[in-house]
Amino acid sequence: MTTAAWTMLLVTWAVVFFFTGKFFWKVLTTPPRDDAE
Amino acid sequence: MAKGESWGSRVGLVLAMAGNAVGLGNFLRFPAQAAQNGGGAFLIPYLISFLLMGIPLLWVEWAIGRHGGQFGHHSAPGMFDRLGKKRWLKYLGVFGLFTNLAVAAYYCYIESWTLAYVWHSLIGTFKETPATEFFPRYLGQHEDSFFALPPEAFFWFILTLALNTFILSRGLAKGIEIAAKIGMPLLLIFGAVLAIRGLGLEPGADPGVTQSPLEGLNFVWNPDLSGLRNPNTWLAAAGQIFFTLSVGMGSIHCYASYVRSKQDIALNAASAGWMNEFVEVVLGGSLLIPIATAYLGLAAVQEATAGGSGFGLGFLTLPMLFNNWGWFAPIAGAMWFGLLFFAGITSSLAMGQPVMAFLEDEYRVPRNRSAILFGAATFILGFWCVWLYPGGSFDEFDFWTGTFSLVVLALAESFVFAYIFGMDRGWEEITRGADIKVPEIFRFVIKYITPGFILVVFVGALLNPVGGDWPGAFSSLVSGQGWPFDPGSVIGRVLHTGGEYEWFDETGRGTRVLVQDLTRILLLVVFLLCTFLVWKAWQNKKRSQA
Repeated sequence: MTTAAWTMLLVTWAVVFFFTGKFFWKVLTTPPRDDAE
Repeated sequence: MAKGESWGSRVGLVLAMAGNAVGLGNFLRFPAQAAQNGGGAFLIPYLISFLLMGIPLLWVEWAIGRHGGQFGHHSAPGMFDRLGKKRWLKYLGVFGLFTNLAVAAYYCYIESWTLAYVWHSLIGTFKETPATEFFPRYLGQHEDSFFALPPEAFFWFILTLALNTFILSRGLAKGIEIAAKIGMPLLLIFGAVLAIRGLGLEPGADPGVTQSPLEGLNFVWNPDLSGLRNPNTWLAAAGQIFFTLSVGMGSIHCYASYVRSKQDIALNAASAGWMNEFVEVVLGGSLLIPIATAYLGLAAVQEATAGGSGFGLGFLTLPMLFNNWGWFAPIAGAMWFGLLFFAGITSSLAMGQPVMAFLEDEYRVPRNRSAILFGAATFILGFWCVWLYPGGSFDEFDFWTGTFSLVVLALAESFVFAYIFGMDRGWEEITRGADIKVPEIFRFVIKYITPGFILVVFVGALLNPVGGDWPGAFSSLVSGQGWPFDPGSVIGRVLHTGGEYEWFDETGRGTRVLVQDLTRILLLVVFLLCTFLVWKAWQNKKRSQA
């Protein structure tokens, strides 16, 4: 693999891992709101 | 509707939403699209489209869904009706019924192939019979006939439909949510195992391997900035984002309608969307192309993915390549088709729920009966796909319902949300109860950029010229020779360009054009029937209010 391909892969994977992990972790750890309406 | 029906847990909702988005396209279409559109050149427009069109559209659909749910509407017609005072708004929602019903018909058929392939991988069929021989026989394809009623394919199709109907009849929390909680983790595990095994293949060390799989990975990831100047790469990338997120179908709206009005949608939507990207970009990009490249070489892979579909590689080539993996071959085959099956079923369930919700909400049909009605309707339409598969009915279903219809609904909803519902109310709806801070810039993006983006995709699909040669097409138009529509463009398809328009050949046999036209008539009838059902439901409502 070329350096450019590795860079593109690693940067994209890092972004995807970061946001997938960040948002899913927040989903797991944030309790649902009490929404008595 | 079943009063009080709701999601059992927030994780269940997000996994169900992600399962809705993750489909066979993540593993078969994405790598093929990337391969056909210059590899790394494709990924930059793809990621930009995700941020400017995908994520905003997810928020719009979740917002429309949760808003509609507050009024007891869990399907698109009722939800759109509540977005404004115009009476025609509810008819936009017909697309949200029609698309789900018609896509489910052919999608369940593909899903049933994956189930059959799991079985055949486990019993070692592909060790004795090449998949290239097995598959046409399985589908009942003969050179001299457009019709087929293959018994085995039919059996697996019925089994798949029955499974879908059963899960749907159990409801949201006990059916769809459990399926997502089982299916999504298994899909991730299967994908990770296959990717690690596939990327570890070495020429010389592993039998049959001629190239490093990293060559395939290099092809997908090597950046080529010239792609940014090519409108066709942008159209392909935006199109892929569209299909991979399952936007424009009405299924996201439906799932979101069971979220309570003050509960978060911003974080849930972002989480489900990014999870889909993880499966597509990380897993989808690491399986088909690298493994196939290792055994066949890059040139053969590019040839096999011509047309932007990886179905040939996925169903014909990969089962053979797994034979080189010794004792692991049946397990690898079962894992590959198993992950495709889980990707498929979590999506097909999402197609069933909106149709059922419409029957439950607007016609007071109990859940079990609405599940059976959905199963029966899917069977009838699916039968057409099975029966006329060799004649091309399947492609017609895929194009008009799984491609064109989605873009129409998404285009309409992006304008309705921003300009009829109003951006102020829309923004309030998206951010109410949000567990993340939605960047203010998305207010501008949703109002101007996303509708414009979809409009460009729509016009591109409508007018795509032969070979994607836009400058050549404009020259042709200016010089009075007319617009050279590609046979795959919407208008090209309607006009049957690129072939002779004859229903019967000289021997009196029906042609593919006949099958295509009959399929279009069938789809039009289904659309009109959905429209009638919406009209009738509102008539009933009016009468009961009087």
